Amino acid sequence: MMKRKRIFKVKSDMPDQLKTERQNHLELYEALKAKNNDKLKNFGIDLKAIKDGLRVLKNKG
Amino acid sequence: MVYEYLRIKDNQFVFLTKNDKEYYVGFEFSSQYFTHSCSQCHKIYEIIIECLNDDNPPFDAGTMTTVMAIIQEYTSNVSVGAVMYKCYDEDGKGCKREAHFERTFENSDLTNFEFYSQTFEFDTTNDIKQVKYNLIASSTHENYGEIVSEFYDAPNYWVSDYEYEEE
Repeated sequence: MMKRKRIFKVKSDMPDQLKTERQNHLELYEALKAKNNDKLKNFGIDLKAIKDGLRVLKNKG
Repeated sequence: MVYEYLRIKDNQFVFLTKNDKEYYVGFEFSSQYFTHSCSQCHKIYEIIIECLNDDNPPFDAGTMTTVMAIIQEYTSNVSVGAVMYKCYDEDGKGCKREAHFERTFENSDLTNFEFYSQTFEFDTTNDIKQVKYNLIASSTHENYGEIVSEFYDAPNYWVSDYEYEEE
């Protein structure tokens, strides 16, 4: 039976792989917040498509 | 209430709230979470939720309800077996939303899904850093068991060289 919630206590600093993973995650959120099109492209996100989509919804409202 | 949303790309959605808050919801394969060899992990997608025009949007129950509706639509494709939501210490906003995420899920229409989470607390010399990973997995998916196992297995590869214990 698998537990629904698991908590692990690790007696060390974060492994490098996790630091990289976390950094990548934060960079994506920062690029979204800053609406940085160049950085967003690296994540496969097209800022123009976002703006166009929001415009369509605004026009409907 | 579910706000009207628009699918702007296969894995990307946008919606507007009653307070004109603009939201982006995207789904990405987390290649840095699943760096080891796994057979079903490519069916787990990380969900990215961001308010684009307010750093600290007021609480709106409709926001997460809409996110759940988007998850339902996105996971209707058989190639998607689960959605993962990450929470890091530094990402205060994301962690606040994470609490709403679990509560909203419990009250949502996602009845064929199960909630799992695992938290890692790293005890450094100066402080304790916490990372939390949540998973909403489709219990009717043909690879459900493997998907949940691989979600739980992944970080173990990172900490296997360290001393750690499960609470």
